[in-house]
Amino acid sequence: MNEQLLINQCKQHQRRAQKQLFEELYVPVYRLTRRYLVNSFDAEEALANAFIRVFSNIGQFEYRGEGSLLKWINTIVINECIRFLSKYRPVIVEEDMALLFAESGFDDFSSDFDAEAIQEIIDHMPAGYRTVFNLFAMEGYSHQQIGIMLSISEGTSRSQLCKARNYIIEKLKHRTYYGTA
Amino acid sequence: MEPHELDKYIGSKLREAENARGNSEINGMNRVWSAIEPQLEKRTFLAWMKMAAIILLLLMPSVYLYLRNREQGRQIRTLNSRLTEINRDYMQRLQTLTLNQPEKVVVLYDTVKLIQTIEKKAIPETVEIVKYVTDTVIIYQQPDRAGNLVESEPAVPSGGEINSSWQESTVKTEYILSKDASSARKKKNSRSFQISLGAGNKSAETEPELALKTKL
Repeated sequence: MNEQLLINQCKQHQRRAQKQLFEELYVPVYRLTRRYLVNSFDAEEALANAFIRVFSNIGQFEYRGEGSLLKWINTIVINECIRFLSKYRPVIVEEDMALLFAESGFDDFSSDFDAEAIQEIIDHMPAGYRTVFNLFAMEGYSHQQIGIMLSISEGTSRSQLCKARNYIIEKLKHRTYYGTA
Repeated sequence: MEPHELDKYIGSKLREAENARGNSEINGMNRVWSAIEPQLEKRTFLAWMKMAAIILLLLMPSVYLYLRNREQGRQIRTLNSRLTEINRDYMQRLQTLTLNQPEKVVVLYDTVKLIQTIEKKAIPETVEIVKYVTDTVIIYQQPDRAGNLVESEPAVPSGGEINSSWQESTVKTEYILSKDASSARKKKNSRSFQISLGAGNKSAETEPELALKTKL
């Protein structure tokens, strides 16, 4: 079905259209949620809340071409994930000074890492690192925007990103030398 | 490797891992939808309730006016029925009174009739009996066509006093039957005199004194 038509039907609170939209966007949105919330039950709860917000506020959405809806929904989902984290899993700004000054150079990518291994590293990363890394590296937000979203300073966002990168590198190095993270 | 290259590398690996998971994520879809749907129903219900409340609020003055009108209509109908009842009762009482009027009243009535006849004969076109109510007879006397004043000379039965009066315009003569002549009413700005009937009946002290009162 045409996306715009579907949106219009959702604006009229048609249950069938709402379900169709949910089913069409569930997978990409769920994946986005899982990047922030490792626990699948947490991700599902946050996702449900996000979709309720989407359907409640879809009247305010202005269609601006293909993909604009997904972008709008992604913003709502990310905000919901941050809200969920701050409510149930407070984002603790990690202050691991060793990671901040660790040697960040890592050029040994001769052995291509397994995607699952990378996913595992990200999943085990502290929530503060992971959130900032996802927002900056995956979603493309600036440090200023991240600071506003997480209620932290721009400098803290930068340092959290730096530590997240070093954390990933350390884990990758460890995996390279010892075979496990 | 530059930091942004690392970011891209990690990003691509994460997407790869997500794609590798395939449709395993869909398992939770029904669970999530079943959590969403009741909330949507609730919100829809609340939205309808809000709309209904607004409509009710807007309709409230009309409803109030309608109810007030209905209540007033009901009160008017009740009062009307009560008035009808009172009127009917009054008419019944009046009828009873007329039927059971005492002998003296009958005599008075005959007297008045006689007076009326005499007055009619005297000035047939200027005298008009307007009203007769049980104990009162009101006679209006008007000037004749030439504009001359008309003399009113009520006829009195034997034993009664004769009084007459002159008036510039309409003469209103009111005959009142009362037990006590002193209780007869006297209006402001009007001269009145009484004609006692039954004056010849001296023996009957217990008999009610009949009086004819004439007002000008």
